[in-house]
Amino acid sequence: MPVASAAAEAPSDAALIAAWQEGDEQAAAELVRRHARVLARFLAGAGAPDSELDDLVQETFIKAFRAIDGFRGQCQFRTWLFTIGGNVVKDAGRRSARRKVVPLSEDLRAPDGDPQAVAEAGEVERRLAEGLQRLTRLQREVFLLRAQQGLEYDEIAAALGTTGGAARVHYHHAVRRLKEWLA
Amino acid sequence: MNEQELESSARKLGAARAERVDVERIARGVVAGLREQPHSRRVWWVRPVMLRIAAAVVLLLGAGLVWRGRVQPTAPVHPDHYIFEDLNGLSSDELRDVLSTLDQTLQEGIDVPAEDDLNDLSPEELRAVLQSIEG
Repeated sequence: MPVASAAAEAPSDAALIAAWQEGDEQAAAELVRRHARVLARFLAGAGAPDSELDDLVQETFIKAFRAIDGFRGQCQFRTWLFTIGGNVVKDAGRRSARRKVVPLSEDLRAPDGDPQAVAEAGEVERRLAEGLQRLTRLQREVFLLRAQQGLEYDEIAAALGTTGGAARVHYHHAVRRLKEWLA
Repeated sequence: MNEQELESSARKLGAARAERVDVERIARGVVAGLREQPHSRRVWWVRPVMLRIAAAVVLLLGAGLVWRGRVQPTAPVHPDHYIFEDLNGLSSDELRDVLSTLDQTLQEGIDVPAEDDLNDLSPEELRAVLQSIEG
C-alpha cells in the first residue's frame, strides 16, 4: 500500500513498517522524516560526535530496518530506534578508539570546531554532556530516555530489557552522579 | 542544580544540533542503503530460535544413536538365514551327502552320529541333526 494513497490521516508507525516490509520504499523514508530529529537529539546526548551525527542517524535507521523482524511492538518504534542508536554510538566510539583519533570526550568539548555550535551548546549543556559520558551506558540511556525524551519507566524498561523498578534505580543513580558532577 | 533544572538541561541537550540534521538527505541515504542490501526476508528455518531447535534435535538424535549403539549390539545374535532352510528340497541321499561332507570338517567334541547311523534316519531326523549342528 503506497503511502501517498493512504488516507488523509497520517499512517501509524506500524502501518508504515508493514508497508515497507511489502516493498514500499517511501514508507521507510516517511519513518525517517518522522523520527530523524528526535533520534539525532538522543544520539547527541549519548555521545555521538557532532561531525558524525547525520551519518550515525542514517546508520541507525538502516540497521533498524534490516532488523525489523526483531521488532515485536514491545515498545514504540521510536524507543526501539533509540536502543539501536545506542549500539551504533557505542560501535562508533570503538571505531574511533581503534583509529586513535580524538577521544569522544574531546569531541564533546569542542563539537566540530564550529563556533556557532559551541556557543549553542552552552556551558551547562557542555558540562552535562561530559557528565553523561561518565555514567554507565545503562544509566546514561535511562537518563536520556526519561529526562530528554520524557518516557515512562515501563516503556524504558521494555526497550532496554529490564524492569520498571530497575530503570527507576538507574535513573536516580544517574541524577545523583550528574548533580555531583555539575556541582 | 536541582532535578528539574537537570531535566530541563537534558531536554535541550543536542536540540540545536538536531535542528541542523539534513533529514531529506538522510532519508535518501537510508533508502539507497536499503536498496544496496535489500531487506532479506529470512526463511523461517534460519531464525535463531529455529536453529536452536534444530541443534537440539541433532543432539538428541546423536545421543539416541550413541545410546542405542552401546545398549544394543550392532549385529544380531542369530543370523536371519538358517542353512537348514536350504535343505528342505533335498532327498534323503542328498542330505546324507551333505552330512558326510560336514562330518569331515566338524571339530571333535560335537556329538554327530557316525555315517553308518545316518543311513537309518528319516529325512526329518536328518534335518533335525543338521539343525542341531548349526546351533
